[in-house]
Amino acid sequence: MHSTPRTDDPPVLECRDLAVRFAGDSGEVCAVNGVNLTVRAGECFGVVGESGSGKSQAFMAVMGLLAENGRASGSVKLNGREILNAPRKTLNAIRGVEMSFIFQDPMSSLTPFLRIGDQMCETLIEHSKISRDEARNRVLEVLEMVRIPAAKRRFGQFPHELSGGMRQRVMIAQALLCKPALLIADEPTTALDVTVQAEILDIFAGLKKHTNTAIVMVTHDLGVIASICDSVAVMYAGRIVERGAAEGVFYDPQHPYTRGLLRSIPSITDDPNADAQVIGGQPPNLLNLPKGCHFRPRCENAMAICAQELPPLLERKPQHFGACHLEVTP
Amino acid sequence: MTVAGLDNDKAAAGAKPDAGGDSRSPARRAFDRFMRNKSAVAGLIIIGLMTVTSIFVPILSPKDIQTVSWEYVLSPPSLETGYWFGTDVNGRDLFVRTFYAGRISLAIGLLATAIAFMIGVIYGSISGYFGGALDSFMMRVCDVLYALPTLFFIIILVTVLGAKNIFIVFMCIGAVEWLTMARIVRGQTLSVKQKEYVEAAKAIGLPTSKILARYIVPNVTSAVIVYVTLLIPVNILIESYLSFLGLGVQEPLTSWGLLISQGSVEMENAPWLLFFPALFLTVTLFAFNFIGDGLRDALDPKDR
Amino acid sequence: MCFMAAKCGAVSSNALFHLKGRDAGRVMLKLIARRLMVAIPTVFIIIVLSFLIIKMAPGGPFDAEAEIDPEILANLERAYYLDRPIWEQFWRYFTNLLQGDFGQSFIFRDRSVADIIIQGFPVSAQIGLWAIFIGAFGGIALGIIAALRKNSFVDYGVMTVAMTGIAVPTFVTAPTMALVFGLYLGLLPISGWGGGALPNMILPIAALALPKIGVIARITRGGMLEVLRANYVRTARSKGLRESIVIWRHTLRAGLTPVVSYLGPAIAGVMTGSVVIEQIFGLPGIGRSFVEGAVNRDYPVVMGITILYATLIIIMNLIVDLSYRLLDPRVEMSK
Repeated sequence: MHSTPRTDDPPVLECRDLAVRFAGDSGEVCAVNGVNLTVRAGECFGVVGESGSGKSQAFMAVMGLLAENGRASGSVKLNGREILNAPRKTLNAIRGVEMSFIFQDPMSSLTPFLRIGDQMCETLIEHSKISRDEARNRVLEVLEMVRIPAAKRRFGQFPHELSGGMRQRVMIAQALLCKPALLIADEPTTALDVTVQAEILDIFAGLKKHTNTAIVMVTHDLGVIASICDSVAVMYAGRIVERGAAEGVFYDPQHPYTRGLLRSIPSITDDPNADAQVIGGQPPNLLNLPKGCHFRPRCENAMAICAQELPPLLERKPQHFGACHLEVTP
Repeated sequence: MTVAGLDNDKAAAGAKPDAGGDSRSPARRAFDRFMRNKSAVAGLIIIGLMTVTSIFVPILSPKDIQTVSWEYVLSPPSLETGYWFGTDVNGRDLFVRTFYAGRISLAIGLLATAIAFMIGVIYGSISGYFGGALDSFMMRVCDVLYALPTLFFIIILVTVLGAKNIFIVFMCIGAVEWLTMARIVRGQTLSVKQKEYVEAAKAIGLPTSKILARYIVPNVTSAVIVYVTLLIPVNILIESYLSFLGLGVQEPLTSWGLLISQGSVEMENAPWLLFFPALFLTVTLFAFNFIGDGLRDALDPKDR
Repeated sequence: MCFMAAKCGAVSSNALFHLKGRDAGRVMLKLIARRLMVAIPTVFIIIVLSFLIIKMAPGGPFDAEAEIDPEILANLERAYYLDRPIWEQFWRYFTNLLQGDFGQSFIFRDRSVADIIIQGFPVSAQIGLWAIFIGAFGGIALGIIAALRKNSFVDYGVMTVAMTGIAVPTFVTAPTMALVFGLYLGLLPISGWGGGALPNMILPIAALALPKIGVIARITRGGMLEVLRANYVRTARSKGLRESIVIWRHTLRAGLTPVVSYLGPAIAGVMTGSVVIEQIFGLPGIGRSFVEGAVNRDYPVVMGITILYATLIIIMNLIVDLSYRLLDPRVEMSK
């Protein structure tokens, strides 16, 4: 199915103890806490979690795109170089060149009053000393790479003249212009129709096959993870609760939350009359996290210790980490 | 293969983490936000003080607004003479006159706004609720009236109606300033009338007038509250423009605009006649604007 | 009647947007034509309205001359056609209007309304256009600076200045400036037009521009903050663009849209003269003619200026609509 992550490759992205805090009306909120992860060249790394789990904000922090009231701490290394909270000038030299971001909503993420071609060329012109004609050729090349039909015509069009799927392709093409080492995609398929989703995922699969770009796929959709990711991190309430190779996480989940997620995927073989399997309880309130394990109130296996101590993320199987007090599951 | 129990509404999370999990009610949170806004609270206190002093100073002061003293014509502000703000060309005490003028200016500002509010809400909710041809017609009327300049329109109304008394003045201001209110209310009504509780009220056969009064109007007025607050200083200003031009409040009554108009004539000899009324008017306008801004930020906090 | 809005399907939007060159020009002309079809009746209704309001007014223009012999009064009324049925008076007024004849002033017997407007309008328009130009330039600059330095001391400072410009009425600032620069410092004349001499224009323009700067700074700041939160601005940042490009190319156009909608009617407003400023500085503009006309019940003057103003507002709004289309390609033809 998937090749295992090549652990000997040098890491492209390395996050150590990454935390993101927001100053809010009702006090400080810790949206991301103690996140450690490593993404290697050629690897597709999935990050899954529900709304508010901090999965997007963690990577906003990597890009230096947090909202004004957000503060990041810890360490983020891109190709071995510390970039967290780097000055804007340093970040601008990296963003769009060494790492690119694909946003969730292609409808609102392209500047509505600029032509597609102009928006794409400006990235190239900003980062390299090339002429407009050369930029144009590169843009057309990349547009064709993401299989945009009639690329030349699209070049002169405005975003609103394109369908959602086409716009997302433009977003992807734009991110690929400078051949980045790291590509972060935040819910790239969520806002799209199901058929278009498949086409977009196909483009990512192609990227993985033909380039050595490290891809981070942030999503709430386990199907996306299953179809292209090599390794997965599951986030809950700002923390990674499980991390490992995709196969391991899918076939031998180490955290009750992951098991819940997997169970809640409707299957074609399910009895259509049976109730959908959902994780009981409320999503966590970041302002008021339960003491001990944050997942305890919704956990079917909760024990006394779970109310006292936050379980650390430990290696429970080779290269497979979980944060749960339960002993290794049978 | 979307996982049940996970939703993709990320916008609410992350960038605005205070959106979830706050036990206070939205109204309470808005109130708390408003009370934390120092300038808005200061504005509220100033308006409170201004209202109370405008009511009581003319009552409690030993001097009358019309008491003429020929030995103190255009006498400068002084604690010794007892004319704290000085006197005007007729030797009348500016201190008591300024507070008395405040009564009239504040009253006209509030009453004109109240009239604009009533017309705007009734007009807008009817237009929005019934929709169709009536709505188009009513909005067309608004468009036509929009093409008439506010101050020009009021001046025409005031002169045409002739009688130069304060009743006419605030009626005219109110009769012109409701247009924007009506548009906001109409827009709000269009969305409120889709709500289940209105459908339910229709289903049980409540008469339209009652649906409007009980369900539409209370739910759309909150949308115009900021606009209403900001309309009060506008109307106070319009009144003072009219009075300044000699078309508003007339002697023996007085208002800030009239005092400023009289003061600007004498500004060379007696600058205090311009200074004190202008100060009071300006501070009041500031205060109302701060309250309005504070309310807007409290009700719609995204702008902070 | 949206040709282009989101409601319409992608097919129709694609079909329409490939109009280029001459076709785009034709679309524009169609839009103008459609707008005029609404605007002309609006002007007509305003003419009817102002005519009726003034006819219904109690008291006539010759009331002050109560001593007049009834026969002379009758002659006067005949001379102004005031003895005819109202519809005939209106028709006479309206047909004359179409020929550019706004009628005779009741008060200044030797002057036509058109004369008064022709003499006063250039004065008002000059002062007004300079003021709105300075107001737009200063306000936009201050608003952008405040938005980019949100919640800093610069922002608070700019917003305080803006609030002062809005809250302090012109009839306070104008006499104060006249007092300081005219009387105390003796730098500038405090009254009169002086045939349009620059020193005579400075104080009126400054007094008129101050509140405009305040309003426009606030509108600009609000618009910029709104757009700076937009997803596409975040995308521009994620591409590693310089901040100056992010602001100039990706933010400004959308951020200034609310300013454009404000400027349309505001330009019409200042061109017809600030009633108060002209009064204070003794300028022979049409704002002052309007107030004098209103006070003296000189109805033809009042009506003439009102109609001029309404027409200007409608024209300015048309221009605003057209410029939306230049600012944002999505706005093809809103209603």
